[in-house]
Order: sequence, then structure tokens, then C-alpha cells
Amino acid sequence: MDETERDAAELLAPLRDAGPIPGPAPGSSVSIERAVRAGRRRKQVWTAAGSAAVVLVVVLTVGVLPGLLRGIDTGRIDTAGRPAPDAFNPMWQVVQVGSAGGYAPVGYETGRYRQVVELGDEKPDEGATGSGTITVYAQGRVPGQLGPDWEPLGDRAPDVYGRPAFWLPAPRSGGDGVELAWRWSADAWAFVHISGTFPDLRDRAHRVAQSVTTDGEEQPVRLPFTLPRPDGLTVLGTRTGADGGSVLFGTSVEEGATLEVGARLGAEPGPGEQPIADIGGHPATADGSRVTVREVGAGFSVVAEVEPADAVAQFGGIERVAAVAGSVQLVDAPGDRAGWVPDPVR
Amino acid sequence: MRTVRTASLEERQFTEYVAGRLPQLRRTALLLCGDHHRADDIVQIAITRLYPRWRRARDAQDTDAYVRAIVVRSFLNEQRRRWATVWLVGSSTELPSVPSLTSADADVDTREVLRAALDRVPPKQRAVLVLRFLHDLPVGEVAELVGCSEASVKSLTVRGLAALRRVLGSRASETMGTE
Repeated sequence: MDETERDAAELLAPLRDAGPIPGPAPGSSVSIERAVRAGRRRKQVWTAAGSAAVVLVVVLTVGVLPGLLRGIDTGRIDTAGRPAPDAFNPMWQVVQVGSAGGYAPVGYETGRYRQVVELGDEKPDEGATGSGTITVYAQGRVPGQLGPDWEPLGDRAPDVYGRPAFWLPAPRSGGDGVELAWRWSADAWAFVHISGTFPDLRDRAHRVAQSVTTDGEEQPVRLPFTLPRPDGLTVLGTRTGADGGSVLFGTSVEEGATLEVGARLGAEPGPGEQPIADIGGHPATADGSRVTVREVGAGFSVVAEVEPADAVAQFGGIERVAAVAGSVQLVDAPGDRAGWVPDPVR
Repeated sequence: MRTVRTASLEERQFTEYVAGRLPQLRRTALLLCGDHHRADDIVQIAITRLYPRWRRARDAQDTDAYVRAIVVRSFLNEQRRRWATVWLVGSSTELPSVPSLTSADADVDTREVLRAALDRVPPKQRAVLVLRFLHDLPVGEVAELVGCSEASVKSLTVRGLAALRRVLGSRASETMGTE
């Protein structure tokens, strides 16, 4: 036990002596009988669902599917085919999403343990106000996922490509809308959260889930810049949108502070930033944890920012953050996505 | 004709097990969430989830650990759902009054202060502190329970302890008798 552990044990010691809470005490709402009744119902649903699935498989296999396959182009590929890794390569996008249910992908975030597709209106000019996210986790990486039999709390939803799915009681991030979870591979889960003014959000969420492909060819992350890998830092993830993108670095692969370095069209300095010496001949501003270099080219700015702000020392101080910002090289035409490059950290 | 359902052997085992462990389960849930009513809700959800898995739990190498995992998971799930409410409504920043060390109820008061402070530590960090230092679980088991790596558990421990000290302020040394 090291010093921190000894401190923690000593500080929490009074709670060790509290002993168990007697129960069920007067006023306690815990009821074993209620748990048994609800548990029985849940078990019956599972059994019925399992039986129905067996019947369905037999019917499809023996009677229906061969006929369908002869006459119809099945189009999409089942997402359940690829075994999920327990960590993603953050420089590759593993999810492909089409427009579905009125939603279209507008941004993409990669990470070691999850990849997130940001959704916007498929037709933003027509007055709809929908938005959402698709989050695909690596095997066993949903926060709170405890072992291979884990499943989200919630009502069963129609399967997604034959995989079990659940309606969450409320979106995990809070706020409005609906969230659907489905097992995209063994021990690996994906979530669709959408909100908007549509009256049939659940149907739309299900359609969005069905538009997700995880067993297609992975795509390299493409960004409108390159930069040399900063010494001692590891790539934790990337963010890409229509207006640019960024790379997130950390001092280790585990959760903790990040240094995000990127180039975005029209990015302005943060409210507390003050002018500093030009970087690479471009006007620059900074505060304690963020550096913005403006007018780098084609309306793009370079931004480097440490989160949380008080972790800037882990990354060598604001001077080094400025140096990393200064090492960013925009591609020739950053405004044209066709010219964005793979493997931007070199 | 009315049919009377007879409890199966497994159901009786389940009932006996849960009845015997209820005090410990409620204590674990209370330490995790800091509120008696929420603790009851968490335990209710956990034992409801346990029922259809009872055979697997009973046959597990360590049934208590299996059930504890369900309680922790229920807490973390419930915490996620409450997230927006917590931010919107907020909670009192005041801790219970500082107990006098000469008071006859000092131990009880100290526990209340500590429990209230623990409730202000972020949920995942709190779960790590509770599981490691109040349930004496090894790092590996805690990592599995909260769904992160062993290195993250150590990091969460450091951050959780710092958060707890921050909330307690000078009480950490004055009241708890540490440092």
C-alpha cells in the first residue's frame, strides 16, 4: 500500500466502522417479493424472446430466406459479422454511416475505446431541428460495462440486424430525445441518441441504427494539416468536421488531460486570450492553456488547447503548447476536403 | 379456480440469500450514492436484475462479488440517468456541521460529515474509493467492476482522494484526525 492508499484508508476509516444498515428497516422501500415478481416477468420475456428467435431462424433458414436471396439484392451487410476489438486505432474510422431517418453524419470523433459520429439534419434548409450521436464502443468498453453478460437497462427494442437492442429510459447524457442501444458484436455495444421535433423519434433512431456499418473497410482519418508527433505524447483520438479537424494527444493512453491540436475554418481566439508574439509569421493569442494562430491560410486558424486548463504543466507549459501549434502545416487547399491527408501525425 | 404458485427451490434460495445480504447491499449502495432513498432504489434494481441470473450467481466462484458487481453497475447506470437532474437542480454545498471531538456523538457526526463529503466526489472516483477502502477489494477487481484499467483505478484513487480532501477542507485534519 503506497502513501496515497494509506491516506485514503485512514481518511475513510470512520465509515468502515459504521457496519451494515439493518434491513429491511421501517421505511425502506426494498422488497424482495417485488424483485421476484419483476424478475419472473423479465425471465419470461427472455424465454419468449429466445423461443421466438429460434422459430424465426428456422422459418427464415428453411422457408423464406433462400427465396428472398434469389430474388432480391440484400444491399447492406449485417453489422454483426466483425468481432469487436478491445481498443480502436484512433487514426482509423471504423464506422460508416449513411443518411437515415432525416439525420446525416456531420462530424466524426475517434478514440481508443469509442468512436462517435455526430449527426445533424439531413436537410437543414427545410426547417427541421434534429441532432444526435452514434457512439460505438470497443469490446467491453461501455462505462460501467461489467463482463460479457452486461446489457443496458431499458425496455427491449426491435433487434438491429438480429442483435438485441434496448430503449434506454433516458439519454445517458441527459437532455431530450431517445437513445437506442444495441449489441453490434459480442460484448460490444453501440448507442444512437437523437433529438428533434419529429413525432416518431424511436422509429427514426432505429432507422439510424440500421444505417450503421461496422464491418466495412476502415477509413483512415483525413485532416487538413500535418504535424510532427510531439515528444512523449500519444495520440488518443481525432475530431473531424466540415470546418476542419484536430488530434488529441495525451501523456498516456489512459483517461486524463489532453492537448488538442487542430485547424478550423474561421476559429477565433477564446475570450481570455491576449496577443503574443507571432507564430510562423501569423498573429497569435494565448491564455493559460490555449493558443490560437490566426490567418494561417484560406481562412483557417490553428488552435492548440489543454483540457483541463490546470493540466498545462503536464504538457510542458503554455510555451510548448505554442510550439506545437507552430509545428502545424496546413495542406495546400484546406478548404477542399478532397485534399485532406491521411496519417497527419508524422 | 385460483391457482397458488409454489416457490421453487431456486426462488427460496434467492429469497434467503437476498434477505441475509440486504444490510450489506444497502450499505454498499448508500456509500456509493449517499442517500437512503436512492440506495433503496439501487438495491431494488439490483436484486430485480439478480433474480433471472440467480442460477449463474449462485454457481459463481464468489456469489457476493457477483451480486456486488450488479449493485455497482446499477449505481453507475442510475447515476448516468440522473446526470442532467444533478446539474439542473444542484445540491447543497454545505456539509453537516463540524462535530465537536468532545461530543458523545462525535463518531456518528464524523461519519455523517464524511459520508456527505464522499457524496460530493464524482461518482466513478467515489465508487473506486468505496470499493477499495471500504470493501478492501484489490485493484484488479475494482477495475473490472467500474469498467476501466488498473492504471485508471490508481488515477481515480488519487483524484478521488484529492476531491474528498478538497470538499472536507481543513476538516480532513481537524475532524478526521489525519495528517
